Amino acid sequence: MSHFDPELKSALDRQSEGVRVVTDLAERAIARDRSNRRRELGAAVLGAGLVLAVAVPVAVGSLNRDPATTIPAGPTQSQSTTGRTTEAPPSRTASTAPTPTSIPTIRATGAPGAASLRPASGPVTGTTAVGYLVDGTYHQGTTTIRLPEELRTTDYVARLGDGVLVSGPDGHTVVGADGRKRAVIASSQQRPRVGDDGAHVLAGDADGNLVYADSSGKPIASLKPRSTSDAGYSPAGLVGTTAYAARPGTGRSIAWDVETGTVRSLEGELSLVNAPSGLGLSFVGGDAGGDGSKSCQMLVDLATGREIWRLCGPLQMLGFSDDGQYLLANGHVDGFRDWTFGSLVVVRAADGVVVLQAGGPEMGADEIVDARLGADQQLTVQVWNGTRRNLQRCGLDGTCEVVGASRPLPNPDVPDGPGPYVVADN
Amino acid sequence: MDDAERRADFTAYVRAREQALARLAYLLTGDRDHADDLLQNALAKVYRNWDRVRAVELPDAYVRRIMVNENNSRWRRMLRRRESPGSHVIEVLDPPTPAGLDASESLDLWRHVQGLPTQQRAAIVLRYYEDLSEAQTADVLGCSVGTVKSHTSRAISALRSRMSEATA
Repeated sequence: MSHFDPELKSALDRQSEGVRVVTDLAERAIARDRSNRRRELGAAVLGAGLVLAVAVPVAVGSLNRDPATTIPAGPTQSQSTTGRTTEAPPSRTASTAPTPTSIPTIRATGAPGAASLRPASGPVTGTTAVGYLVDGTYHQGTTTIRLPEELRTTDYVARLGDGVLVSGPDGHTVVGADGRKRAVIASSQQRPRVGDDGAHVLAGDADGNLVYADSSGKPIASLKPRSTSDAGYSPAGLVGTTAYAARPGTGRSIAWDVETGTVRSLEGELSLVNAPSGLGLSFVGGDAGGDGSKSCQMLVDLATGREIWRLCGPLQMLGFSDDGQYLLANGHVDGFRDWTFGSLVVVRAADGVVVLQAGGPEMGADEIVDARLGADQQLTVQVWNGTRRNLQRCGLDGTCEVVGASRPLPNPDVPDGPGPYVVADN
Repeated sequence: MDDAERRADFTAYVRAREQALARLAYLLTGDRDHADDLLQNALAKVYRNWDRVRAVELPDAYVRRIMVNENNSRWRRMLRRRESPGSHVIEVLDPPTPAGLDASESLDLWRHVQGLPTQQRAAIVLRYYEDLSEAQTADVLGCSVGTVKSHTSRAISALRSRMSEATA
């Protein structure tokens, strides 16, 4: 034991000493188990309803559009930052939208119900153009990259240059086409974002910095947090050489031009951006413990700052389709009283309409745990059924075919954990 | 065992171990909301499997494994990202002044522990807080002893480096 070890033990002991249970924990755990069972039962009823809904072609799904809601678009403020940046004039959000704007607020209520995804069964009958990881090897078309042993249980993979970016014990690690580690970009749990060019990546590091790196993992630029107490940045994505990231807890985001260092401050905490469409999604408000009706997301045009719509309901947005025409969301959100939607919901970006949803009669039965929607409008999803999962390709009409064989869960203790497949993030 | 007995048995276990489990949840997550959620989810699963847990396993070992795995679950992390529970099950008070270690140094070290990748942080918490052996830690993390060694040594190296950068 080195001299450092007692210091570490003491620091952990010290932090733990202030932790106290302040309620009847056993009762709360039993209540949560009861709630989980109710959800499973509710999902079973929903699943039965969805089967009936499939027979009817439903163009407009489970949304009610409120009369247009007037939401004033106030001016945004520019901000100073540390690091290689210059202060920008007021953002385009402010300069192009100075007057109140009529913004539709859409309520996702779950009725009358969108088309339903119908997972296939049986052997592999097709292929997918989307990259995925299985058994420690990345596959995309004819490309295969065998990951180094310590990275084979990763839960994140994205194509980067001629190799891949994976999350590993040291952080976000660049692996070359030869399967060798090239560099570690940042040590952080935050999800990195690979640009549309597949050659640059945006990542947040453990010190709160935002790092822009090339496909070899070499940092090109970085942006420090505003202060030591700042939560730093949560990467939303890249549009060309503009990096978008939320400043968690502030209700604001930044648009950072990585070439000039100019930083603009934007309203809302951006969680996702899409380069081809120039759209971004911000989380507007939470609804913990409620029915999700107050949980809202805002779709914005990044170039003008114009709000396109606000969608409120029990959905958590996971990503854009590759072309930005759709958004993928999760309807099984812990913290909401009830689950109205399935585990995967596809929302049309143009009008916020739910066009497809998926999710089995209960957790673990035809549940979708991983999804990508390509520009060809084909979904690649990992389907969880009981103790096994397979990979399927599905159209927006809900028809599917198996593209990756059924495999057992890698860790039965974590039934909702990652694997055995990991669908690439880009 | 009927339902009432089962419930009473589980409640007795939780009451005996709740402070230790709450502390572990907090050290694994570094955040009260996440620790609240982790603790309740883990114990809900334990309750559902209580007959098996109490009959064939040491409950603490099972609960630790569930907590670590839940915390490592990317799906679970995504789900709880925007949550804030209505009423908390734990509170976190300011820690007492430590003996033999500068308070700000101790806090810095804790912050650096929170910045470690999830598996490394779990390895550190299990080895240095729970005092588990490498083999026991490997069992909880579901990995080899070699991987535990690797996680631990990388974490310690990163912590040393960050602490020396901070004091340089």
